[in-house]
Amino acid sequence: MTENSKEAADAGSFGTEAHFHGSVSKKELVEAARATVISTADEIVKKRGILLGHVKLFISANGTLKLNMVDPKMGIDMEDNLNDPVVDGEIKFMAATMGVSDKELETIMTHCLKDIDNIVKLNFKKHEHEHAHNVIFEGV
Amino acid sequence: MIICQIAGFLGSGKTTLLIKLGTTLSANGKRVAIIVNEVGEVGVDGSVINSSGLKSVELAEGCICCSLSGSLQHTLKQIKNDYDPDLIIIEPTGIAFPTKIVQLVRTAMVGEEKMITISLIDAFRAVSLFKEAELFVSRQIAGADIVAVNKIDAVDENTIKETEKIVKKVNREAQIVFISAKNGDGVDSLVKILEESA
Repeated sequence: MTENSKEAADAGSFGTEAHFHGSVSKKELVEAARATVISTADEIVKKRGILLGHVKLFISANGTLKLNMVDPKMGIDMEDNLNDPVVDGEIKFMAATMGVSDKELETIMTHCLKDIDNIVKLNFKKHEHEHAHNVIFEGV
Repeated sequence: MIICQIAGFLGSGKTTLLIKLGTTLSANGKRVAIIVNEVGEVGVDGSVINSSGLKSVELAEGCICCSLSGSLQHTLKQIKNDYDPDLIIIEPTGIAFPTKIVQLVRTAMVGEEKMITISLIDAFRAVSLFKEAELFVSRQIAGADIVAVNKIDAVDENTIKETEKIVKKVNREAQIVFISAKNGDGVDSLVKILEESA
């Protein structure tokens, strides 16, 4: 029987993506995104005692914003290339960590996304299972 | 064609290193293809990589060392046939076992001249990770050709030495390099290794 690495690691993961449409300042959006990532990490630590994994958020709008947290003691790693005004955009939000189940992560992250949802209305994309990977690679 | 996997635990800096290596090698004239794996339904790393100007194929919703092993082999063959790169860089999910990926690449029979496994270890978290998940993290380091001790910019010399001790305890054979993928320190040594191999 093939060993399942996710089970071997006792790891959970959850990811979601959403489109948003609404005028918001870059400052507001960055603050909300930071709050989402930090609160997610804090909730994981409350549940498990430690974050053994990562929380990542990527926004593509008028530019891009990348947020990553692997240890609350290290703080949040941010690459902010967003520009004002922020109108339409896409958000990808995921976390993977040991010792917290998929369902628990989903609950935590869905709740923490409210920080962003409160300032821009998020339209979550329905996930389609695409396992037939007929890829077209255009190269660099 | 060389295949390089950049393995390492969740949050060890794989994507950051991959972007640095990919952009440098591409700028130096190498044809680089990237496969990135995400265990969750939605991946962020693919978007991050693409936003840096690189192109990647993202395999999500599983781990390429087990549940998505077929997808990995299929993707390798397609990339070889359609693009024929000098170098394929694979970023597995942070809970993958690198030795299993080596076996899968071998049995995919895409004609690679060499496969290199670089395993990253996060110097900032190494001690706590070993305390919490020693067996798991050890398996990730054990199969590495090169172990890159990452985030050296965030720790002191003692911590770097402690991390090196941990690595040597698990894998005496691997070459050890000390890097900061974030600011590029030490990354040139890995670029050189891959350029000379490709």
